[in-house]
Amino acid sequence: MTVQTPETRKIHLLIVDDEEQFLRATAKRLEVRGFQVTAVDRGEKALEAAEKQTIDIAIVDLKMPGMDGEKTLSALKARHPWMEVIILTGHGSIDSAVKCTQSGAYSYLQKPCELDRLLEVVTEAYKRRVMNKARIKEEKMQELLGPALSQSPLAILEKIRQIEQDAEG
Amino acid sequence: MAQLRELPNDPQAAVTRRTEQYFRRLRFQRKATLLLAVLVPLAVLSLYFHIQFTYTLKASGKIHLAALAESQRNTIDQFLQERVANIVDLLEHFEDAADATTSTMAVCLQRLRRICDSFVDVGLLNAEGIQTGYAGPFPALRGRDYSHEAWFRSLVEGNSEYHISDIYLGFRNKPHFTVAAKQRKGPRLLVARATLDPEKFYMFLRSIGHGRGTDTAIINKDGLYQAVDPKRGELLAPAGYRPPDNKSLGADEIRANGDSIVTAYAWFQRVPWVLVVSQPFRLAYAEMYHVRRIMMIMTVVIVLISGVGIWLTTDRLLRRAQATAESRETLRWQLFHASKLAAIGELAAGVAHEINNPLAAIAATTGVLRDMLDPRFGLEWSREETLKQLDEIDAMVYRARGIITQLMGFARKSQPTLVPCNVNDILDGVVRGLKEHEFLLSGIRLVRDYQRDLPTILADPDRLSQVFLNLINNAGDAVKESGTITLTTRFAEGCIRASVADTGAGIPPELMDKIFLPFYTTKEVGKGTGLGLSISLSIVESMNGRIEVQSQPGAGSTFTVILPLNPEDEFLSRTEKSSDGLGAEKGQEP
Repeated sequence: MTVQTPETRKIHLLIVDDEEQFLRATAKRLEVRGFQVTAVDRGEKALEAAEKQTIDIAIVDLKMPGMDGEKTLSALKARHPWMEVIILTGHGSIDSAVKCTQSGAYSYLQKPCELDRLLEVVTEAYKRRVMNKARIKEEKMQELLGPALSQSPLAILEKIRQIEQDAEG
Repeated sequence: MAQLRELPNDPQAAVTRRTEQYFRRLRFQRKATLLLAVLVPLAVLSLYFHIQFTYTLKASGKIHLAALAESQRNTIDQFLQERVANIVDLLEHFEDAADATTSTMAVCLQRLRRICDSFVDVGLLNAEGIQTGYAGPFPALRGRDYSHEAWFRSLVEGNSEYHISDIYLGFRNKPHFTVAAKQRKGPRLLVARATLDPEKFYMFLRSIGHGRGTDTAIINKDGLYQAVDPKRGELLAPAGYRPPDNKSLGADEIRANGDSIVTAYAWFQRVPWVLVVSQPFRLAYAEMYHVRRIMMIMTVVIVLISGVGIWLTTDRLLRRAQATAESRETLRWQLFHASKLAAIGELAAGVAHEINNPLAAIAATTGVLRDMLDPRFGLEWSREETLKQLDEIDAMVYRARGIITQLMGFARKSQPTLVPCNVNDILDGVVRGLKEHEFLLSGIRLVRDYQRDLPTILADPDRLSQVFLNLINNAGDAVKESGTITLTTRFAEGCIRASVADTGAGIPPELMDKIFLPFYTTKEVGKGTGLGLSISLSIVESMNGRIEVQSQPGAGSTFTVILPLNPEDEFLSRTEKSSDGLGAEKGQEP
């Protein structure tokens, strides 16, 4: 029941939580199910990781020392608009949920949470990510149709490749 | 007395007791003061009026009696005047003493007796004092020589045309008195005289108007009775009372025969006599007694009504005040507790997170174990790995429990047990042993600066230790690797001050207000819940104390626990919270 296929890369998850044991255990369980998991315990480290690698979905805790979950959420969405961020916190409140959703969180879950439930949400998030990427890709391709004739073919090809690469990010 | 709060050393019961004592004393004082304030003037006023009334009414009684005496005297005067006129008239009929024949004299006597039956006899005397004519019950008196008698001498030698004598025995050896007149008949002097019966005289005296229960008598200037009630005294006997002769009319109070009597007197003008009327107090002053009785009854009634009114009103008023004060105290305690509960409500949010984290970690770990057992994942399953995961679960469980314990410590409705504590010992006890060793290893210097003769304070030693431990832990965390922690104790202004000072990073002023909030912490999760300072504060507050903080960012912080030696001194007057630029004070009113 693994998600990956030899051609495609694994879905890359980023978990941010200062609770060590929870971090370790959850990361392990997700890895075993075929995800690539980067686990960090601070918001700043999460940003660093997102710069270095392509992250599909981030799972972020709210209460953390240093940069807290909300700030991390905003920063991630700012730099990586197509990354979906799921908030997973022991600290739930309606106010918090509304704020996070307005800041761009895909979903707001409460700890403790069943792994299957988490996986459901991750799946939906990934679906949206893929669809968004496809849509942007299509929009950008549409743009090319317009002034395409005034540019050289190589330039256009380069643009298309760029679009494809962006879609990967 | 409240039933539920009868625990020994219960500060709340102590406060209630003090309230009761205070109000009991207050009630007594107020009632006494008011009663005195009302009754003393009332008494003084009553006394004044009483004295005035008494004086006035007595004067009035005396005046009445004096008026009576005067009226009686005037009547007697008139009587005597008439008698004199009778005798003078008699003289008109005679030219000479020799004219007085027996029959003529008899006729005269008859005539006289018709006019007034007090006349006993009558006689005519010549200038030599020989009674040439006589009519009356003592025929032997005819021819008697009266020239040496006092009355004759007074009459003949005096200027007055008449003379009235005092009562005397005379030749007849019976008490009588004489009315005599003289007239010049040419070269010769003629004297007529008549005697009057003092008893009849007295009867006349009695017949004229008198007051109730009055006694009238006539006394001469030597104090001998001239006319008197035979039951009261004897003619010519001393009266025992002689009115002053500087006033012609007056009244006195005297005691006679064990009775208090009012005596009015009126001096006669023609005779050296005084008329004396007496009346016992209870009759003379009947009006006064009556009024006084009424006054006294009214005063007593007023006093009773006022007294009862004051008593009840004050009582009710002060009991209401006491109830208000007590309910205020109760409200204060309830507020204190409610604020704790409210803080607990705030805790709930933090607790959710604090408990949820270990729980989530446990769930994740059990999930790992399940994954390990699931053949689909093909994981390596070893005993060591399993045990390791189980250990992790245990660790999480205990962490959760620790949080619950701390929370319960905060939530428990404090009924501390109070014993006399030496703060120096408690403070030192906290740091001795493990903590000291820990600091030593970390290179943290520990300085002790205890005041020697610190007075003992009534407190719960465990709770105090909890507070100190919290502060010392905080100091240790602030100082981290190297620095100094100073423990100080002092006694000033009735309070024990215990300080924990560190040379750590300090607290920025904008965070000062937050540090006592539950779950506020600058530490990482898992290293402290943020409950320590708020619990410490609530403990100190329950002892009526406060915690002062002074901090300089970069230089360090000092936390001072201030505990009043006598918490009940704070009763009914608590200081407000205050804060200045660098320091913040927390405590007392919630």
